[in-house]
Order: sequence, then structure tokens, then C-alpha cells
Amino acid sequence: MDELEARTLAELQGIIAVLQELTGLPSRWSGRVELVPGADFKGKKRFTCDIQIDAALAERDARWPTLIHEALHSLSVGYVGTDYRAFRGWEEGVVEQLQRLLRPLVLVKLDVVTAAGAFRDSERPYGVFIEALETLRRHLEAPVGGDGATEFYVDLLKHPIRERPGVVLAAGYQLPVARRVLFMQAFSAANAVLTRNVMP
Amino acid sequence: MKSQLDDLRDRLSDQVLDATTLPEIHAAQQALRAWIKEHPEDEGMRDGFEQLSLMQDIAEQEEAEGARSESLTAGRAA
Repeated sequence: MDELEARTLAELQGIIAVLQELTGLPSRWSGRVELVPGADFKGKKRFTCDIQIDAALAERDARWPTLIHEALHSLSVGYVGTDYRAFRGWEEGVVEQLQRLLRPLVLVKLDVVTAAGAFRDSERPYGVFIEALETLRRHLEAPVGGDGATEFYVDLLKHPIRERPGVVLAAGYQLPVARRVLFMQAFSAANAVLTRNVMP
Repeated sequence: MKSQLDDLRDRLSDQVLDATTLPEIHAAQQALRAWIKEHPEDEGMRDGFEQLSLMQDIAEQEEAEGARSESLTAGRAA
């Protein structure tokens, strides 16, 4: 194992320890990381539970969001191929939004200091999933701001991917009738985006 | 107001997120590579390669399982 791979392995171990503490969820990561030279992807948590990272990215500050994102997949309940394909927004959207919410705290806990502007969260492609999930969260009036939002997404991460739409739907059924109608309309539209059953 | 470039980016994003079969995945990978080559500053769009790569793993596994099952059926029939 070379120096960069050893450093990446240690960083992932640190991130996962912090995330387990913050979410209360155990990780299913195999403990193996592979740096892939010339990879198209920045990072990938395989269904076999190994993590792959683009070797060039591993050298840059910009690696942190990717490492945290992939570490969160390892905590996600029900991370299996068939469910991932059917409910991909319910996984990628949840994981990416949690990455954005938890990243500052994770980096503080790991004593990581990065240059200002080192990270730029993108509106696409996973931004469409995040917008859909945020619409649902607003309808459910999950508390706004860091902790409330984090709680909403951690709760989703604790449920198997395939059960997440049902969890949100059940919460919507608790709303007063007038708001429930609006929620149901929003749910149909958001779920179509999150499962990619959208009309062209 | 959205620029033509934003529109193109949204369409590419949809193509990436919608790809489920191997031909669709390969087409989306090619389109995304071409976009990144033209817009190397657009780091965020590279996130799409993660989903495409995972979808490729799933599709290849299903194809292999389909081939195995066909060969078993053919073996039984013979």
C-alpha cells in the first residue's frame, strides 16, 4: 500500500468513526479502499462494500466531500443494487444532503483545515434529488436549520432504501386534512423525481 | 432566466440520472465525458459518474445472471 492509499484509508476510518457517533448507525464498509488511476467517478461505494476513490482526487482538498459521501453510503440501511436502482434518489439525495449538512462538523472533529472555497456543492445532478427531498421536508415541517434537517435525513438513512418513500408518506398522513392534500400532491411529484419515473 | 448552456446541462443531468440499461449507461457516460472535457471547471457534474458506474455494475450482474440462467435452461433441454 502506498503513502496516499494509507492516508486515504486512515481518513476514511476517521470519517466513519465520527459518522457512526453522530448518526448512531453502524458502518458496513469492508475496510478496503482502492485508489483508481484515471477514474471517471470521484468516488464509489460498491455493493460489495469496498470503496473506490479517484487517485487524482485523493490528493486534493476537494476529496473530503467525496470521502464523507461514500462513508455515508456505508451507513445506509438496505444498500443493495436492486433497491438502489428502483429508489436511487432516495439514496443519493439523502446521502448527498447529509454530506452537506454534516461535513462542517465532521471536519472540525477530525481537525481538518481546508482552504476557503475548497468545496462547491453542485446543483446538478444530485441537486434535483435534494430539491425533491427538501420540498417534502418543508411540507412535513421538519424543523428548519442544521439539527432538524439532519434528524430528518438521518432518520431516512436508518430505514432500508425501499422503505423510505413509505416512511415519508406515513408522516404525511399525520398532517391535518388540508395540509395532507397539499402534501400528497407534492409527494407524487417528488417521488417521481426520486425514482426517476418522470414524464419526458 | 436559464441560458442555453444551463438547458444542456439539465438535459445531460436527466440523461445521466435516467440511464438504467447498458446502452443507455454507455451513452450517458460518453456524453458526460464530452461535457467534462468541454467544461473542466464543472466538478459537480462528475458526481454523475458515480451513479452511472453503480448502475453499470447492476446491469452487468443482471446480464451475467440472465446468461447463466439461459445456459442452465439450454442444458436441461439438451
